[in-house]
Amino acid sequence: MSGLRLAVTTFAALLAADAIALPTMSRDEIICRAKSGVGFSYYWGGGCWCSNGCSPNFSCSKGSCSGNCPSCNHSGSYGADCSGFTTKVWQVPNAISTSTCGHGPYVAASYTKSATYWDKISRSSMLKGDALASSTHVLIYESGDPWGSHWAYECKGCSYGCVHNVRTAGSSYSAARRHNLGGGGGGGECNPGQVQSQACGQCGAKTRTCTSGSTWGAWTGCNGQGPCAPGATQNQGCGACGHQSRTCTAACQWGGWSGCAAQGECVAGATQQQGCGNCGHQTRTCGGGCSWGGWSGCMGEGPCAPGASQTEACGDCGLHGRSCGGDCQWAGWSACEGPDPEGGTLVCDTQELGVCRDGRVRCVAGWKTCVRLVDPSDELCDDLDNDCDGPLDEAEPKVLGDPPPAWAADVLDVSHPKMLAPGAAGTAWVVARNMGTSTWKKGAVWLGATGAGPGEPSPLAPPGQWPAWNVAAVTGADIPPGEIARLEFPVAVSLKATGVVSARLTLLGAGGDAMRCPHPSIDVEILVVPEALQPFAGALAPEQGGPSGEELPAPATDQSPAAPAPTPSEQSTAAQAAKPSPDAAGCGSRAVEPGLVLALLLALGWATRRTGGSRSA
Amino acid sequence: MGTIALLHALLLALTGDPPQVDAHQTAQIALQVPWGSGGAMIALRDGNESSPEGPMSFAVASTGDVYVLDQVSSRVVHFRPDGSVVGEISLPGDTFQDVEIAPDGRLLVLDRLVRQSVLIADEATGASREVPILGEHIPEGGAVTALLARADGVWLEVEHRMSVRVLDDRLDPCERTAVPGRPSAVAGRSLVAALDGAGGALVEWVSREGAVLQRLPITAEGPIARIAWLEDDARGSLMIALHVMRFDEGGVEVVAEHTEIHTFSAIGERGPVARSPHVLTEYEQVRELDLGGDGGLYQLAILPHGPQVLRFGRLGGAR
Repeated sequence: MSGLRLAVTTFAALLAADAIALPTMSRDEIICRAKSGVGFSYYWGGGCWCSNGCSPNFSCSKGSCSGNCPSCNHSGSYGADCSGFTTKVWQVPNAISTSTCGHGPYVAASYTKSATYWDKISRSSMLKGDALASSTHVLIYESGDPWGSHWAYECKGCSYGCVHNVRTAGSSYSAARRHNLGGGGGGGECNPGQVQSQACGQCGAKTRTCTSGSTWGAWTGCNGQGPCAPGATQNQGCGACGHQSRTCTAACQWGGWSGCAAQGECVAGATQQQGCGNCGHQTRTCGGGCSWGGWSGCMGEGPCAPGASQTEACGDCGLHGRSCGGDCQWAGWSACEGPDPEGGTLVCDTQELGVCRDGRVRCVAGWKTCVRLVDPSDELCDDLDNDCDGPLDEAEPKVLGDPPPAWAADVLDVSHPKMLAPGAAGTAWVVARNMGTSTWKKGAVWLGATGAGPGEPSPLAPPGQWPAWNVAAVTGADIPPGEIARLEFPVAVSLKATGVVSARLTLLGAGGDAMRCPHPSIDVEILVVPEALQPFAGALAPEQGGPSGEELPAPATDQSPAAPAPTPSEQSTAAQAAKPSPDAAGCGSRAVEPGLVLALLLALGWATRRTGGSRSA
Repeated sequence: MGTIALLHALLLALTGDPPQVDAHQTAQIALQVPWGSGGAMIALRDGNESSPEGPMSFAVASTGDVYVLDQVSSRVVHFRPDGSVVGEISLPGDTFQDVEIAPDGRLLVLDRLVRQSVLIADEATGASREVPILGEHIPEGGAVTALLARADGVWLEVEHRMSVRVLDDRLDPCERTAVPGRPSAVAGRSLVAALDGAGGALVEWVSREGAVLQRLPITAEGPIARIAWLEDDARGSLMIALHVMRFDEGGVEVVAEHTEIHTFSAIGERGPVARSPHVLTEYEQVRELDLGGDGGLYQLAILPHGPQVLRFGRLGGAR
């Protein structure tokens, strides 16, 4: 028993001796001792330096190292390698001055596992004064930095010496904590003044500070949070009943809105208008569901569609049309017109005169209208009423028609006594060209003579010497168209005649009708001069002949024309005309009273002018 | 090398089969060289009671050329896209930890701990000069967490909390100005990132004055143990690389880990996520991932047989 007691007592005494040998150190004291070694040389196998409080004391030579340890050279007595430094700082296994040289019993690898004077701890629980050790290196940990690097005191290597620096330590380094920690800065959970930050909330941060008692203070509130939590999404309406979203970034800030998705076809309340029908318009409104409502009815339309056309009957034979303009409004009706009935061949009476009467049924302004075939024109010598006023060839038109009328004459010349004494007779003739289309048959064409009044014989007719009392002569031969006829006949004035005796001589056709053109008539005027004045009158007024200087073609004449069959009233006159009458130039001369000479001369001048002018009238 | 093999074996032991990562299957190997100190090699230095070192940083030019910081051999090695070596830029020490390409093509190399300077090297002429980094806003070189070249100059990031402009656009020292987080490629903005203490992360675009313009909470397939890289392009597209770790029930042992590269558009819309089985090893890296000058997303993986640069398509989606 005593042996056993002794053994137990001895073991307890040994434990007590360890506890007593290992001095109690605060963390601050550990750091103080480590700090005092900074600047001394790396001395492989060494472990001492001089200090002055927490500062190095370089009154001792800090030494120097060269080469590649362990095959390196060191000069001086002071310096340390990593394990010598740590052992001296920690004062393991016993209290010892830093200036007491000697490496001590531990190498770096010794600190990688728990041992008599220290324990291996988790790296996350390291506090200042703890050690970080690998199989080849050991250092004194002072604090961490924000990145997880370490402030450390270490005798780093031959070239570096003993340093204080921030450095990294891989997972090959493990943490160890010395036993017998106490006093200032000892035994706590953190280093006084150490600040720790931690994320919180939405990218916020909270901090806590290590108290002077090496315990953590309380966390602050969560500061600097962002508006959202990472990954959160937010939706909102957009556009036309669509939606868009945004996602919170890792920085707790909203990302940009996505594009607007699932939109409807329109924005609520919007209206839309479109054309419809005939220039009309219609509208629709976007409903609350962002879809279009139905179109309204078509408003404001015009009566027609652009380009449309319309045709309708008008009058009794016409059509008219209209087209629709771009404004959907009808343009005006076109003129009413249509084709002539039956091709314009329907004959009708225009109710006009002359050539204007013959008409054809036409469609005029939509109505059946009798339209004359020939319009009025100047009267021609053609046996037609060219000017549509009723009479044919009135006023002796001088222009021949084509064809000319059946009966037409052009009096080319005339000869008659210019003066006769009362009761005296003479001879006259008329030369005329057949301008018609009918041959003047012998005895069928007469030279009519007007009388002093209706129904009265011509004042120039010698009693019984003309074929009839109002017919001075008849053709004595056939006169074809274009040929000339000469009609000779006696003329006489009555005993009672005075002044000027006149008559109009006109060629008459086979029917007894007067030829109307182009110059079928001539006026004959004979001055009645007393016989006593005949010599003067004959000297002053020779017998009148044809136009001066005009050479006439030889007429087909017959000095003894066969008298036309006289009318009952002319019979007597014809009988009277059978009696010869004195020639105006050489027969029947009588004495003229002296008192009448002046009047005779005046009358002679007047008669001369009238005879010459009648040809051209 | 033995340590690397051991690490790999440990990783396999912890995770079983290598992670099947879709993005990795489509990732292209932009560069693969063996460990060593020769021309087309990159040196590795085992720890043995010190911090083991491999290439701590790399940079990719707009041509696709890759510059690997081989600080163990005191140099930067310039590789063509086909893996051949263009040349190397010698460094005056073996403690440089970050490399970057300035807009004019010159190389910028940071030694924050020993020389505490930025080396400006002209590869074509061989000329170089160093500019001290300590000064206003940077009282301690060990606080510098990144070297960042932007159109307006060169910035040094401090503690992943702020950045300080130390060189102007002509790469001359300038009046120092500080902005929150790290400067964005978009003028007038900064990027601020932090773990949230609950397994996630927060990224913010902030104005140079610090006003939050946009905040992105980020979660990964597992707890985010570390933010490995953060960068955007001139269009504002963002990439953030995360080191994801899963622990055992006790929270002590890592049972699985991978890298996730999350991308976002300029307005915070989530883009493709790339997964890589490669993670930070015991070999410290200041720049494990990078947005190349050609727009590609690159990772510098430390593998047993040598470093490998992988390309995960382009930021913005196109490969």
